[in-house]
Amino acid sequence: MEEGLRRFIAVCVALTGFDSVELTGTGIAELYRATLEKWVGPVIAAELLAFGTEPPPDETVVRNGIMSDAKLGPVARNLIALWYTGLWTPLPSEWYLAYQTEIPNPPDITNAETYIPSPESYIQGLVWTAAHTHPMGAKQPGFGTWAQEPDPAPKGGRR
Amino acid sequence: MSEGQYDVVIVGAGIAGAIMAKELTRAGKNVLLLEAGVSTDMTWEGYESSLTTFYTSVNKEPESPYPNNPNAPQPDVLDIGQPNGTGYFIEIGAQPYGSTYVRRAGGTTLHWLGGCPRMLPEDFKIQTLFSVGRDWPITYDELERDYALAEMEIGVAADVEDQEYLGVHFPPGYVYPMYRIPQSYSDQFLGSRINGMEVDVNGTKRQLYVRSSPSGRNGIPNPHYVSPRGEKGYTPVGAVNPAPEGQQYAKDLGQRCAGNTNCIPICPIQAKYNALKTLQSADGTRLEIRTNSVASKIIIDPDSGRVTAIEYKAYDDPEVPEYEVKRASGTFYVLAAHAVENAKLLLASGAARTSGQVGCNLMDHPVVIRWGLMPQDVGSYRGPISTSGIEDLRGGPFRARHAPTRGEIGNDGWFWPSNGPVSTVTEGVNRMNLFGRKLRDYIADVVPRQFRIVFLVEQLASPTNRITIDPKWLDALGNYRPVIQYNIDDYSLAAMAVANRVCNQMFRRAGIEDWTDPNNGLHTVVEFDGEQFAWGGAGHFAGTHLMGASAHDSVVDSFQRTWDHDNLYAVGSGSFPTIATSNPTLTLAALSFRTARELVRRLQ
Amino acid sequence: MSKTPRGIHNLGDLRDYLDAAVQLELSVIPPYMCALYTIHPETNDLCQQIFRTVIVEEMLHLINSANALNAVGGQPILTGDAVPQYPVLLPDGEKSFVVHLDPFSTAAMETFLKIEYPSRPHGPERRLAALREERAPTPLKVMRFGHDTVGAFYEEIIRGIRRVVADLGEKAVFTGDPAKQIDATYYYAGGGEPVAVYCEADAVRAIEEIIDQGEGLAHNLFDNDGDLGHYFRFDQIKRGRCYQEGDRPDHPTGAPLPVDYERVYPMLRDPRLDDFKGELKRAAEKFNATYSILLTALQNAFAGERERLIGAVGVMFDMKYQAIELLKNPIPGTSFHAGPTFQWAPAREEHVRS
Repeated sequence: MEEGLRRFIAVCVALTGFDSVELTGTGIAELYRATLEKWVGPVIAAELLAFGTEPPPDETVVRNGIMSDAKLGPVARNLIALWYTGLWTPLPSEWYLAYQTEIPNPPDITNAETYIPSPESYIQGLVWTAAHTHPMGAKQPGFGTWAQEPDPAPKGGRR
Repeated sequence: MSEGQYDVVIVGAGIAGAIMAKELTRAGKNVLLLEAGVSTDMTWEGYESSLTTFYTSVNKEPESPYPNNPNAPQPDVLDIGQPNGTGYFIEIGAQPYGSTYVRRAGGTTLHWLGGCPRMLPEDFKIQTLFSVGRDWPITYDELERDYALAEMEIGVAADVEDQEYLGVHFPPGYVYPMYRIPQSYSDQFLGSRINGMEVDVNGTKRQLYVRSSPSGRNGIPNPHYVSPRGEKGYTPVGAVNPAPEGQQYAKDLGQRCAGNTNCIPICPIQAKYNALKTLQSADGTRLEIRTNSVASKIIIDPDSGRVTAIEYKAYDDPEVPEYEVKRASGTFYVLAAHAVENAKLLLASGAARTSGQVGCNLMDHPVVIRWGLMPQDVGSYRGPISTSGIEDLRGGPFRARHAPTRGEIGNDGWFWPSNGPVSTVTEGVNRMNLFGRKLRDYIADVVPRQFRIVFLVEQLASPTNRITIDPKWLDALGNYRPVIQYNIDDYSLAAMAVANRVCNQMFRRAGIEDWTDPNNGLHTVVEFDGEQFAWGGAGHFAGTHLMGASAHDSVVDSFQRTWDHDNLYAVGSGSFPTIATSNPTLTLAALSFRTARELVRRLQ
Repeated sequence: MSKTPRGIHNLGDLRDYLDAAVQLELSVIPPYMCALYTIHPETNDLCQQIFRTVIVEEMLHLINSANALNAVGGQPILTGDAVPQYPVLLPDGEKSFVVHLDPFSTAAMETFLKIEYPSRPHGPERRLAALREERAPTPLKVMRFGHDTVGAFYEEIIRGIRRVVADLGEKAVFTGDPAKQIDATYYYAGGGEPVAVYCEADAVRAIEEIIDQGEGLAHNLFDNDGDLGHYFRFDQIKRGRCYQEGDRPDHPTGAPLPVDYERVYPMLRDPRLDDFKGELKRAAEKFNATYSILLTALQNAFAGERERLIGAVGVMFDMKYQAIELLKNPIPGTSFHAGPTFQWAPAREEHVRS
């Protein structure tokens, strides 16, 4: 796996609570890395990817370095929402105002709207996996499965 | 087939039009079917493209797989309550009309839930029994066999023993085509907590039960099934797949519901009935379908009052407002275009004017929406969107004072009330500042407990709830847009208050944590008796050309023939004099069988 | 030609043959699943449809074989040592082809055509790039019988049913518990309904349905339901063109069938758990646990707990999503992707549901 992608996935492991095989197994990690770069540019993306250490950063590092950071925090929250729901919501214009000098070719945000980058983005949304169900309208579970007692929800990822 | 040779010209390729087309062509009659919208979903590839459109739609509202066609525009949930000019409807009433429909081949069955309860026998005579509303010119017993035909055509899954309540009855030995769809674990859990709970509705005491809902979705066929026509057995009908012989790989899809939890807006495998299945089984050699053809005027011979043609505007590209005006002629004419579109067309043509009731009496089921968190994991967001209901308040003496109501229990978590589970993620990330494992655990804890129930309330026919037309408001092809005046009266509001109190009792008894927030910005709010409710529409349009016993106070007779025009029929839920509490599709399908039989008789 | 087929001479032989038939059907489903699931989403749509319908019908064949075995007093076993380990040898007298777990590829298609129409002469095997020395194929029980082709094997079963019934009488042969028969209440498939077997005629029909859907009775393009036989469905992929009515075998003249072998996850041939480490290994173990739950449910269903089959459909979907997750994961340090290993993994308590 290419190093940039490996780092991207490592950061996303810390942000989403899903392991690397699960994230790679969605097949959309590369698309999401491209989506990130499209909206925040390579410099800020690289700053976030710098947290993609091996092993992935612990909670305190993420909280201090990413989530509470004025620049990276909004980006990370957007990325989490993208992974979980398939939706990319435009970052606020104030954010762009503050960091435009760090974005070499800034995207046109005047008409930017919330969007779903690809059909798979919706289908692979992590919220459904986390909730032990399937995306509405995809990954059908089969006749009668809904009558069964739900799978006990395992805490903290893969059984 | 050249113009004028058709036995019947039908306007609208939804369920009513499809049943008419199938029954008439199979009886050897030649039929022309005019459809205002596109035919995208009639092929498997086209249907799949609608599914892809759904996947990439940010708002997964009922219309999301079926984008608006400016040449045959349709209402959209996102436009409700927006300023006039935003959406298709022009709203001039006290309340917004909360429902929508689809204008393309297949009609609104493309995004219906699939609920198939019969009406109660008492629903047909509420004026006689309770001195409110109107009576139907037919009885439950007169419609009984047509109900069975509709259950065959739609492919309804239910067990008779669950459905015999409040006077609903079946012929001895009757079974539905398929066994009931398994009730969700969430339903079973709720039932274990509330079954037998006694409620007092203005002096009428009732015990409530979580009851399996009859569904137009494929389950396990009942080997004992015998159709009203004597055919034994039932084979579930899968996806429409008009590919060449041997290449129809998709036809086995949808032979059982696979639990996609997406009946609305699109069943990915067509396990849920849609009208395209009926169209596919019409006699294709006698049926001509013209899509992209918007009926714009009924041409009437002023002397005889008979219809001589339907004028329609044929266009190529939905995005280009260029059209050619054409006429279609036949012996009989059937408007099956939807309650709103039928009324619009009648009004635009000055047709069926005697009673003055065309467009009036618009009804819906105002829906009280409640939501909360179950005390344990019930596996929300699994199964068909609804597998059970609460039917015990659908009838009774209280109807003299307020409306009856039917509970529909959701398997779709908080999707309807609060755009869950997307809103749950937003809450977790942006407000609770969760990420990583803690976010994942939060979702795993909350989302599988999300629960909603809605109560559908009857609305009486009122002349002031109405569709009109106004030359100020036209669509891209110059056809009228519906101007809607709508309100909810105290008869229904009182029942909404009853339903709300029943929910309080139910939540307390089941231990459901109440999260209902009428003011979350996603619902219309009404107040009654000091209570506030979130409410919405049910998509159940009715009454705009209602049937009755006399030409003076109704638009059509019991065969859905317009009193004023001997060869013109207006079919669908627009013919209902009362909407009662059942989802209207099964009843309008039954009426379609009745009308088709009458037309075959008259064509002999 | 290896040796003279053993043939069916008595009730014991018939049970052995039907037991082998169950294992044979079981062993072709995983290779078809690998081909299907290695195709990238939203590509090769028609190929995906073809594999999906074939797999559903192979499940039907498995059930028909199990019904027949149950009817003659046998007991279908699908767990433990009965689980095929890939690569496997199917009953071919020349032993000229081996069935692998492979990604969707021309080589895989060649093998599938041999499975579905084994009376064809078999060309030399093509080789895929390999991570490691190929493992020796594991023979299935059916090898013992020495038939040249799968078709001949099933034809011998039909003859055997008639022979044994003629010797012993129908009552003495069909002694199985009718409550173990799987019918349309418990399983459904587009290509037809399972044949519940209570007598000679049912048993013959159950086996004929397998032959019919595979290569077509009398080598017709279309089976009794108007569907293309499996052989011809696959042949369309090989030739990139659809059959239409009136076509001769090997000469499809219908619409082009687009095939893109590049839009495929490069799964390691015949993957096994040992090929993976860490999280990847855990994911592969999870798949095997799910597969084993399915096999256990099927076996229990055939043993009389028929309602297990309804839940088993759900487990098959779980397998699909878990397999696809593996297939999207590269194996670190290689050019291959991981994949489902289809190994028997007896379920621990907490894995069992339904």
